[in-house]
Amino acid sequence: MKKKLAFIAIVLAICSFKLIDEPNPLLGKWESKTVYKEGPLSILLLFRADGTYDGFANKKTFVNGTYHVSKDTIFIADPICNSKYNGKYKLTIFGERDSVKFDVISDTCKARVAGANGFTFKRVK
Amino acid sequence: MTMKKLGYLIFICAFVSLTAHFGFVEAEPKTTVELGKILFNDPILSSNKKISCASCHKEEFAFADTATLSLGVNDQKGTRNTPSSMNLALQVSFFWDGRAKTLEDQALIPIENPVEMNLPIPVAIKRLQANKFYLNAFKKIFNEEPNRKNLAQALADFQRTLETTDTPFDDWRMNDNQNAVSESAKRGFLLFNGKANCVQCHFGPDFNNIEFRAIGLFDGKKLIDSGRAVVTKKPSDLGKFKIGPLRNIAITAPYMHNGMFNTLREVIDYYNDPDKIVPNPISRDSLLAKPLNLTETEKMDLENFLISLTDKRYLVKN
Repeated sequence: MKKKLAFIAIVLAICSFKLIDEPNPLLGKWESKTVYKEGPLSILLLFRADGTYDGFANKKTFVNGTYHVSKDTIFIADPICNSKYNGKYKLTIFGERDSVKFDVISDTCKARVAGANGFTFKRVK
Repeated sequence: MTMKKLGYLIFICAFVSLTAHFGFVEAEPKTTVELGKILFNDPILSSNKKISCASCHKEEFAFADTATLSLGVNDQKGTRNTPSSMNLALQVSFFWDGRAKTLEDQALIPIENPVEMNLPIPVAIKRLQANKFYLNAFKKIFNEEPNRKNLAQALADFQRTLETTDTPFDDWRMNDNQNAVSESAKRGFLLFNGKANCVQCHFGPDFNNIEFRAIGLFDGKKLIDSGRAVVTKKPSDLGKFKIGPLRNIAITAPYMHNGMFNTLREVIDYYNDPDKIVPNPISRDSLLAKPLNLTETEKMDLENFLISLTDKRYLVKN
């Protein structure tokens, strides 16, 4: 009986741990504003709960793909680079959890590294 | 005719003449964009004063032309299809062969081109300086008389405003509005990124990347425009052209640098099996080495996806 109870307790502990696992901190829209060719450039990222994301440059869709987050790391793929290959970036979420910075850990896609590494985005409210 | 009747006739003629004159007077521009728009539509920038930028870059067709080759002054034909003047703000090269690196550089080239507007820039500047309306407008906006630099800036600044951000496709992706595009267009988007592999070249905000590619429309016999190589003089650039942007593509037929395809379906059929249309191309990109084997439904889906890239202002009109 004791063993059974211990087993149930362990299962419950595992389940509850899963249940209180942190929600995906990236869900929603994030924006980075910069200047390009002497004009304003807004890059907006939309991360969805179904594991897909889109990027927009001045409101124009320019990239889409899939992602998942594990602890402080995002794994991200898109069909321009290779939809079956995940680039790996460290996420640093700061401020009132309303800012995020992407730092490359490993990514063979040079264009994505150039467009993401070191960039900070602010949550769109 | 009595004196009285003659008097009425002269009065009517004078009234019509004055009305017509004042009816064409432009409101005074206050910004470089407003000035650029007036210049874009004014034939004053062509040698015979009959052709303006807007003669070939027609607003109703997303600032492109429906003719295979547009007609310049004295009905002279160019050699390449007129590209759209829209969605240029984020581009890094201009013209099919990329010969201009900035919109300002681009803006003056058609004015001087003998088969387009055929007006040397110094002559164009003199005309603008001699024109009271333009002299005043340039002085107010730039604090100087018309010159090469501010003429280019006005035209370029106007073109930078011609952006397409409100399409059914963007509505679907940005707002998760599932009703913005058809199920067929959604399947087309998957094909675009997958089986059809269009995304390898057509990506970025305007779906055209920044590269030049040889898609097989140069064979040295019937298709003799060597494209990018004219600019770079490199044999490796033979038959390469700027990748065409896809926003508003549904209303900018005909297609390709030479306007050889009249419909989007013809374009899709070409990419599906290029050898069937141009059997012996020179230096065709290896991405097009094998037929795509698209089904008829898949071709329709791709077409519907491309149509979803049309600015809503044109969808309403059509």
